[in-house]
Amino acid sequence: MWHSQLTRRLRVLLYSKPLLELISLNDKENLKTNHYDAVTLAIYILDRIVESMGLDDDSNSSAIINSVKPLMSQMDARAQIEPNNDRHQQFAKKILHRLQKIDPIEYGDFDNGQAIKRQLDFTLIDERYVSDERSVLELSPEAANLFLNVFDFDIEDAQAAHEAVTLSQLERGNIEKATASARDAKFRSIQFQNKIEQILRETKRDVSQLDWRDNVPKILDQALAHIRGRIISEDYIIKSARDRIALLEPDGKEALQTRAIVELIENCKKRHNQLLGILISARRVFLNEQARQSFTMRSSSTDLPNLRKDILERLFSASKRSALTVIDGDERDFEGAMPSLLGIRVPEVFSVKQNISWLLKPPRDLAQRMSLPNEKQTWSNNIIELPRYPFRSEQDELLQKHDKPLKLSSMLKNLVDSDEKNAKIFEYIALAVIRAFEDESAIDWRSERLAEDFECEEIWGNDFEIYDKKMLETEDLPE
Amino acid sequence: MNEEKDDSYYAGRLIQYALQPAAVPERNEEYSRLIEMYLDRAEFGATVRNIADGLGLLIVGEVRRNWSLIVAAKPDSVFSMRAQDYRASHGYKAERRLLDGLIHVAIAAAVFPRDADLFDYSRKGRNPVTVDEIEEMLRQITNQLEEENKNNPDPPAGAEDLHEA
Repeated sequence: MWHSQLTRRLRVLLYSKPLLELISLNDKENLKTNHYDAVTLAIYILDRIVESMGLDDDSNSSAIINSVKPLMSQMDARAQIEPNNDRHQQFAKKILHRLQKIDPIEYGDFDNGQAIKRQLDFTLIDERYVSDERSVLELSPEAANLFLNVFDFDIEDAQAAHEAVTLSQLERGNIEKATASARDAKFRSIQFQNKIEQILRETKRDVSQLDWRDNVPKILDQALAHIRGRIISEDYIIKSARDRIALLEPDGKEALQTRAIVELIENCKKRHNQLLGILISARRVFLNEQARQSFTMRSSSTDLPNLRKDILERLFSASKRSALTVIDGDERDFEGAMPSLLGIRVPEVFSVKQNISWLLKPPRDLAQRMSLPNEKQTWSNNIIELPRYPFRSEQDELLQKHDKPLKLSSMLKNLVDSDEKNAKIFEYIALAVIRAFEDESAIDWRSERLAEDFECEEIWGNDFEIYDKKMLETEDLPE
Repeated sequence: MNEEKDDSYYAGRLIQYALQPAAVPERNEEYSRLIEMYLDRAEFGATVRNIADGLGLLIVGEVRRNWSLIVAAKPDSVFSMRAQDYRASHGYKAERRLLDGLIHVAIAAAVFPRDADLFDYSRKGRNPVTVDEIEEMLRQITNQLEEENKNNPDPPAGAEDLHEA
């Protein structure tokens, strides 16, 4: 069912339409502007206007256009085109115009279940006149919200996403889905804790391996801000869930599930609080370790490679093709890393003793004289996987219960005649018969290979005769 | 040991033991005595190294009493194992080989010492590497790359299959 929140989200999306349309802004008449990324420049224009809002002198249109020109020169350089001030001026003006003059957008909505059309009329940049007949540019409230709130959201923050989904599902009463989302959020919390603990473990092992000057403090600051935000958000989810419990039947299923969500989120919060403590004390760990490790003996040589940093992490960052070349080697002289990593393999040589033993074994391989093996014919490799067939008990009964010896080919033909045309059943029966031939001790029936071949529904090879073991006690059967 | 046999015979025996990962000097008297010979007699050690070299084998690290002789195959050796030989299957595709390769590099990275480890006397030996440890390392690296790419999540246009590995 359509609800008003969906209309709200749709409107937010539509406000970004003028920006998205800039992606395909191409000047067919003047190919020299095709290399400008109009949407990138538009985002910069919005940023400049925000920056200068309130400072009347700097926010007029010519100042904004001038501020974009250095970026356009960089784009010229990338496309190896000579910068041109007039071209810059015209193109920047064009973008600004597109953000100021926006045609109304029609969109579909539902009013009491009836589909209707609505019109959204807005602008992203307003021009306001100030004294001395001068005008300044300002972001419309919608553009300011879009640019400063919506666009600034960390869209790839999986933890925040899980919590948002949990809250939304809780509000709609989808308790089971909310429970699953809460579990995912907990999993993300565990991953996050592992990451910080790993940094501290590495610090305790060798402080010089981590960039404590720039990178690690940045990660810790980000983590700290993230964790504080998550704790606030978790408090809100817990409060919402408790409010909901108060409205539900105390021992009802929904109330129990909602309590489970509260427990899960409380667990996440507890974990985040622990992590907060770890993060706050992280710098002290660094200072202590730095003091301790500065007096330990260092290797005089720095030749020892760091396989993790220098090789493994680089392999992960490389393209698939380059990484595979490192692993596999190339067609020229480079053998690849695998021979060094895999150790030795003792090659097999011909042994008369082994060959005679092999020749004396009963021939159990499928005949290959009809054609070269292909993928379909190698199903005999699957013999050990018999338990994966779901219908095996019914077919086992079929294989056991017969009064006289039965050929595999006849059994499969009977199945074809009885419309049991299931390739998997055929496969299972054939594999079970071969297995009975390989190891007769495990089951109550046995199979013997015949000299003739058969083919039935893509199963072909030696035919087999299937006996109940009890028959062997009463009748003379060929061994 | 039989007096009629010369050093090359015993060198061959020692290399044969080195080629069997299951053989351990502590449980095999002959292997143990051959290791002693290798350590005590320089000319025998040289014979072993020469034969190993001729076979395309490299004696890795320091040879110690009661420790196995560890040999690695040089790339052109008959004992060398290529990526394609690792799994005997016609369906051993590039993607699978790449995954196997990354896992093996991770194992090597986990066991290979760093400068700091060699000078940390508080740690006499290390526990064997576990599957969980390797998995954790691989996950950490992928998470770390994901984190690093957060501010620059999309590869440059035209960069072929970047980030796929």
